[in-house]
Amino acid sequence: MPATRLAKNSIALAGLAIVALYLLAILVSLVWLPFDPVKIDAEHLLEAPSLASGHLFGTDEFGRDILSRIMKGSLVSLVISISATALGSVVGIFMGIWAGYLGGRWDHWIMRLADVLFSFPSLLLAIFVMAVLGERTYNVVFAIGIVYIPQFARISRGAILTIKPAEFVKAARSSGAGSAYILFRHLLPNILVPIIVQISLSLSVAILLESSLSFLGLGVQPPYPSWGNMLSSARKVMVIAPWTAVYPGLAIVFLVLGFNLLGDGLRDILDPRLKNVK
Amino acid sequence: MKRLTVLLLALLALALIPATGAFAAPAEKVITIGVDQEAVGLDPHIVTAFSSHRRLDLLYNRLVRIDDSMAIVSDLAESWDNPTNTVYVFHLRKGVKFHNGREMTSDDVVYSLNRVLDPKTASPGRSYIATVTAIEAVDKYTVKLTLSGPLPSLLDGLSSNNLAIVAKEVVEANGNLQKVEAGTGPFMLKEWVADNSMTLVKNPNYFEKGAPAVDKVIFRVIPEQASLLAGVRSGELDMATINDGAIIRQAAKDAKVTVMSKPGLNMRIFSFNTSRKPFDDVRVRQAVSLALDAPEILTIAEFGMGKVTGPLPIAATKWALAPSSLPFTGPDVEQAKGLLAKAGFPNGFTVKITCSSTYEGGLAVAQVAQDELKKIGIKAELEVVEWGVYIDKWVKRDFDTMIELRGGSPEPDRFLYRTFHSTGGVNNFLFKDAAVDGLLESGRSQTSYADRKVTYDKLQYLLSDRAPAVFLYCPNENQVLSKRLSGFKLVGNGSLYYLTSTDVKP
Repeated sequence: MPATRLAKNSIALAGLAIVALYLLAILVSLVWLPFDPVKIDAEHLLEAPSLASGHLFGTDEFGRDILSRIMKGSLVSLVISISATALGSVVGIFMGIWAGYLGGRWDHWIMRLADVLFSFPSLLLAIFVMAVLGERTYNVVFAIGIVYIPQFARISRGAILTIKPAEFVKAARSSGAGSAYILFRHLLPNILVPIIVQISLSLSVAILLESSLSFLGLGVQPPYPSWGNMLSSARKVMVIAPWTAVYPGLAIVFLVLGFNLLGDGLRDILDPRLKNVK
Repeated sequence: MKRLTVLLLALLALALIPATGAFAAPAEKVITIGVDQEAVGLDPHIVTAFSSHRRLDLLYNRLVRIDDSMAIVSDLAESWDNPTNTVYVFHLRKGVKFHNGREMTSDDVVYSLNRVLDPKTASPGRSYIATVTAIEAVDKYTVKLTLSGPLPSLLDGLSSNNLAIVAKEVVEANGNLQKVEAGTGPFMLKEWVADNSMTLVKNPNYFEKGAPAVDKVIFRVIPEQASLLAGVRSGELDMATINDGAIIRQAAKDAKVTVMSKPGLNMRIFSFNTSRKPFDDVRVRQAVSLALDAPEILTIAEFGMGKVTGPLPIAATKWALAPSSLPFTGPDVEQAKGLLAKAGFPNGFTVKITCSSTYEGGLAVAQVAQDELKKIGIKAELEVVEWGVYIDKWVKRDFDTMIELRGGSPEPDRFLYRTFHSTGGVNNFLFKDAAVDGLLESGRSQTSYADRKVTYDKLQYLLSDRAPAVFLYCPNENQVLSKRLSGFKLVGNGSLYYLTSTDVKP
């Protein structure tokens, strides 16, 4: 049972706990925030973190509460990261398994298209997509999703190729099953393990990509907070008010760490080849 | 990330390079000044970039110059007469030598001004003396300018680096002066390593006795403002020009350096496109003007490093009226809401504010303005665009509202005519108002200060009332200096002229 194996795997558990903590913060942020995250307060510019003022993580150069902005930003970051990964994985897997299953000319053209996308560094490709689509928050989802398509296509095609010659596939075909049926009922469930691992790692990379885009001014637009644009605007005041950069930075580090630990743990748990490795 | 890497590398470089100059040859006095931008070129009649002008301050002289109190004082012209309001006669200093050793005479003045007036030169200085119809060398040391009509801003225009006096033979030998210099200024160009440094050496024949006080001025280009401050602190730089309020605030707390600040002539404004609805209605513009709280914007966006202003830069003390004495200077939320309701927008409306994340682009100003407009029901969306796109939108007048930084002038005609006259070259508001045009034209033709003062006072009231833009504040001009320097004075237009009289302790 994967559930009991999960309970025994401390790495995966730690990752899960971190991600759960963020999810909790998001749930809380939907109903309550310590302060209004976009409210400018000229009386409290760049205040250091303190219990007395209620600004636990301090305030930024506009007097806005940093904790509230991180909580508000976590929703944006997570929603973007999940939807972009969903977009990239669904399209990528669909392309990859058809290419792997059909072979021949289909395989050739689909995978060459993936190669073209692969030949751009991912941040550059994302910046290019943002430049074409315009600087809107939901466009970040497309930008990151497009970066992910070739990655998922390659992984799923490779997995399909290894199990396509298997006996049970031949058996299904000889009993009259159609291509779509074989692909989605027999092949897809058998290649889910590497895909699930890739998804969890992609979630963390998406967080970083989204932050990078916002840092460059291409992602979430001010005054709405995202971790990337918080870091970007903190650059100017970092020396006199280090907390403006430290806390959003830590927020990114911990969530990425959480997703990575979870991904690593899941691979250990789900990969049948590692089943007996202690 | 990239800027951070550059910053770290710059810091590392600063730490590794041993202090040159000052320590290597104790007999030689050197001032090293850090700037964030390389000069674009050095031809005084062509360049517009701020970074180029700061080098020209030291290489060239003009007929007259602006001193640290913004008054027009003698430079190459020892004195001048103004027999009628369309004739100016300049008496030149005798024995002034160009850097190539030849004496500067009235012929050079005639040549220089004609070069500026020649449309082929495409000089920004042309508009400052556009009504000059004849330039004559009366004798070796006298020049007479004849104008087609009165132009009270003439002397102010002549004080610009764009009207510097140059040596003809150097222009002819080189085509233009972008890479060489042909001046009479206190310093001479010795070496220019692009994007790195420019070394100027003392002009031994400078006409002012005992000046300059130092042997060399070295400009070092360091793009990151935080590294500039670090350079002055470590002693690698003697002085640095810094705009960023956050860095200045940090410098002000530092006992190792001196911060000099003065309200500058640049002006932060919130511009309307008066040809677009709803800003074609003056009541809407007045309501926005009342909603915006200039002191609050100044505090937040600029860390308080500046002074609130009306339509004329507050540093132009001869002319500028205090914003508190002008109409529709906020904040007054109730009155603003009333005006919006009368204009047919009791519940406000949605509007775009175009800005950019560079200093000039005013992203921080836009964020505060957005928050303040919310209070009167106006929902503002920020359109944060890349700098090139920003300029493009500015040129094409493609915006609802825009945050701008305008270069002002101590002379009201030079700033206001081009900005608010219906035919003005930088009237991006597409603002047309017969009364404003009328006052601008009479201000141009009147010559006595008392008459002009009355006209420009009226005009300042009228511009605040008609509100083609909301006038917010003038950011400070700042220099961060090492304690070793003495004698430097700031000029509101950012000029480094007073390096001529600056001395440095060994």
